[in-house]
Amino acid sequence: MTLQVTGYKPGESFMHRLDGRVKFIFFIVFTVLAVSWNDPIYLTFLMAGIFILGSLGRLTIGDMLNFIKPLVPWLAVVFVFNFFFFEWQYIPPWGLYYIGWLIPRIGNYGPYVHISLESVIYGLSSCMRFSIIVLCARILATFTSPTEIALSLNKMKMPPEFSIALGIVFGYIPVLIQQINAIFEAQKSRGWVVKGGRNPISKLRSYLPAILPIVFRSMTRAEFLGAAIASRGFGYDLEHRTYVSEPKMRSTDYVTLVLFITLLVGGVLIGIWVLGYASYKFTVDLVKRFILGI
Amino acid sequence: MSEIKAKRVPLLTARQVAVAAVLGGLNFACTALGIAIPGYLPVVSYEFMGMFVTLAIMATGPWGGLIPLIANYLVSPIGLWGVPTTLPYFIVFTPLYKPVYRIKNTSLRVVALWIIICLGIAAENFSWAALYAYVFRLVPFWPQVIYIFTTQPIWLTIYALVPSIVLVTNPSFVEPTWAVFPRRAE
Repeated sequence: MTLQVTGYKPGESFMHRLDGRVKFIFFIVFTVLAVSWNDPIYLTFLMAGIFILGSLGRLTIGDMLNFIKPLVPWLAVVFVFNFFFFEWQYIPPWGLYYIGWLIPRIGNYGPYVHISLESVIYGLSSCMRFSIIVLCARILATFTSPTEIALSLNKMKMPPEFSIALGIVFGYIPVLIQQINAIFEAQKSRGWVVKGGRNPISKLRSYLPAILPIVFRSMTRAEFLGAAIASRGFGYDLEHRTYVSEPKMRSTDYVTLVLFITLLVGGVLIGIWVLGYASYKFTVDLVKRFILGI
Repeated sequence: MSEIKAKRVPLLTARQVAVAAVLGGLNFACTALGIAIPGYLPVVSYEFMGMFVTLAIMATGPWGGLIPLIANYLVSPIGLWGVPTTLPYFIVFTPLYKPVYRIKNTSLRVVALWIIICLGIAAENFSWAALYAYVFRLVPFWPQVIYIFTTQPIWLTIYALVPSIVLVTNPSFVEPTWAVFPRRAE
């Protein structure tokens, strides 16, 4: 049940076998590159890299597209939203290439909101960038088990108190789901229903008869759990903790790590912060020169 | 028999680890069961994470509050970017909570709690808008700030309603016995 919540898919692929720390570095490298690059062509290469890594974990392209699918309506809103504010925020020095209006003339009203080639490409790159970030997060969660996450964070010098707590979080989910279900059933048998229509605050108030017993029961549970942790000598000698199984970096992990770091350094060097490439203007220039012939 | 004394005082006691972990688990369990309030934009819903993070800060301090936060963002769509983005809430709420807890009058204490949570969420709103505007470069900053602040009453209710009930009915559970930098008891 925990695995369903976190999205972890057990397996023996290359991505599964990679050390958890390397997978965290993967997340950092790809998301940092995604936010430092702004051009759809560069972002396409980055996305291709993620798809390759995903396929090394035996995920199909369809599986990976399914990670982004729920976001499509939201991305569409963001894409359209960009037309409203593009000229206000990002107007380039050379002037825009207008291709139409978002809201056409209706009678005496309109047209409103310019659509320019630049705003379309910028909006596209914004959507791609966010999709890459989501893909990276989902891939990290798909190939890293909750136990591995806790252990890796510990090995990355996170205080053991945190990794122990995170381990308990993931281990406790099935128990808490059972508890929530039991309380929901009990309250439903007393005639409780979630009302409130579309008003979020009324909806939250209608959840209260179920949420309050859940929270109060969990408080009692937490006190017992705390006593159990204390009775096992928690905090006795945190610097010298021992592990049942300790993650160790193998040669494949080191090679992959070097590749990721090279990609990060190279990517940032050619990225917008240093050389002015990887900006949406690169694609705008290409489209103007080779498609529109300007 | 010699006694080994730990060199470092743990940032969290056993009780704090347990409370933070259970609250983090509850957050996940609610997400797994789809307990959330539908929002006005597509795929945007109001989840209860803020409620559990607030309770965790109240009962276990800022370090404990980080547990539900990190756990949530480890597997969330935007990943760990969410952790630093939520930190302004911690920075505003944590130092103000102890004086609020010391207020003797219960009604005044609850009002003060809602005010400091409101301030914390306001700080967090700016940080989310900055993340989406300057880091992800999805939507410009000010239009986003305006949109987020229209949802402030909803977030405030989510963050503050249950914690204020706990503060009134079971104040000992959320008594701030924690310290940001714990010292060894003499």
